[in-house]
Amino acid sequence: MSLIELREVSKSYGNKSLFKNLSIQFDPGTIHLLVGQNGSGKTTLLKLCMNRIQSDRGEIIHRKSLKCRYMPDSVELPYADRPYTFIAWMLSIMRVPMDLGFLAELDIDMASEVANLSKGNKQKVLLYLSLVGQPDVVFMDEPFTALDSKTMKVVLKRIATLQSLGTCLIISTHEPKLFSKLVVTTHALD
Amino acid sequence: MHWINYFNYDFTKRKSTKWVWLSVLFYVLWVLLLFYFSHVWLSSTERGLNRSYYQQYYLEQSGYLCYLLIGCHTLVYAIEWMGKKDAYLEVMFGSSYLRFNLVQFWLNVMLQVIMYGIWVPIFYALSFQEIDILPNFWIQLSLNTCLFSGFMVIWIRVKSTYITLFGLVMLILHPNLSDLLPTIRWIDWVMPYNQGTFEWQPIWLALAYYWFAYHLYGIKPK
Repeated sequence: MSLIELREVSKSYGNKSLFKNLSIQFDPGTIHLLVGQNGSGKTTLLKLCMNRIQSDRGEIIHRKSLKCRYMPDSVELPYADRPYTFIAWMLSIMRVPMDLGFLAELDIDMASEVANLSKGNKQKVLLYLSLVGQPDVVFMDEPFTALDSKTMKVVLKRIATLQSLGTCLIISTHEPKLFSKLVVTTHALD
Repeated sequence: MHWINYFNYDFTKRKSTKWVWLSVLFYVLWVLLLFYFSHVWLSSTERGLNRSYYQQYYLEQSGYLCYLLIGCHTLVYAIEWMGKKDAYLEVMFGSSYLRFNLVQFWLNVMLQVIMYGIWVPIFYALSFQEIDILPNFWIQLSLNTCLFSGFMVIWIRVKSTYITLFGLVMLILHPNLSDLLPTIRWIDWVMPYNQGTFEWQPIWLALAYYWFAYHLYGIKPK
């Protein structure tokens, strides 16, 4: 059974139709790349899959009790705490054990407060939280915009591991070439 | 256990200098006002003669002021909540996030009741040389703030400055709503103002408002 299924889904904002009668199945162990120009509806499709907004028409079916993760392109983290304690807190609420190996590989700046982290380090924190453990579905919105090549390799390796463990990853990106070594399904939204 | 962990962390680690300073300002204002009241009464020679009148006057005025200050704090907290882009935590924590938020909102309101209310019996004792825990004052303050916070929590979803203004007007008028609108009897059912006797109606009403707000938050925007 699919984790998420879109059946004949349509969505438009005002007069602009983003997609019409879109049907996609998101199965375990698959990677879906959402590609397209700015404003083509990549983030909207992610939000629809995350059950954050309503579709105009069609049906979106979620498997029951899905463990979802989300990596937004930008988010405020207004916490006066070091990344390690912040991550430990997030994981304790999500009930996911800490993966110190993966955390060390990402090489996050642990000395600054979360609220004051650089864009790249903040992105690493978000990446860690979205890819740690074994979630059912991971939604990622432009995950590589501020990453160096070393971190990108670590993240791509992690994505491949999660795929082999049965996680479905839905990624909005402008750089599909980065995923050339992985088996992916590309959805062009232009 | 993870609920306690959530509240503990979010209370202590969340940065908001603006909110902290506003809270401190309200708090200082409140203590200064009570100090002024007690000082005025201490110097009054009439106090001994009209003791019960002044006691009642002090409790009514301080109770209303206390309610106003906690209400303003609730509104400030609501504005803070309105500005929050919580999609991230909502997806990461799942449906329990909304429950966390609502319970945290209520806990915060109750914490303010204790923090502001605690000074009323202290200044009462200082002013009238009489120690009393003032149960009626606590009942009135707790029930009314519970109800007002429940009412506001519904409106937080509508992210507009008009809602803040509406909340402020409701806060100021709440104690006199039934007097201002004597022909509209249903106002006593929607926003009754407790006068210090324990009643279940405002509790059920506040619970219903919170329950309604929880379901309202589950509705997806277009």
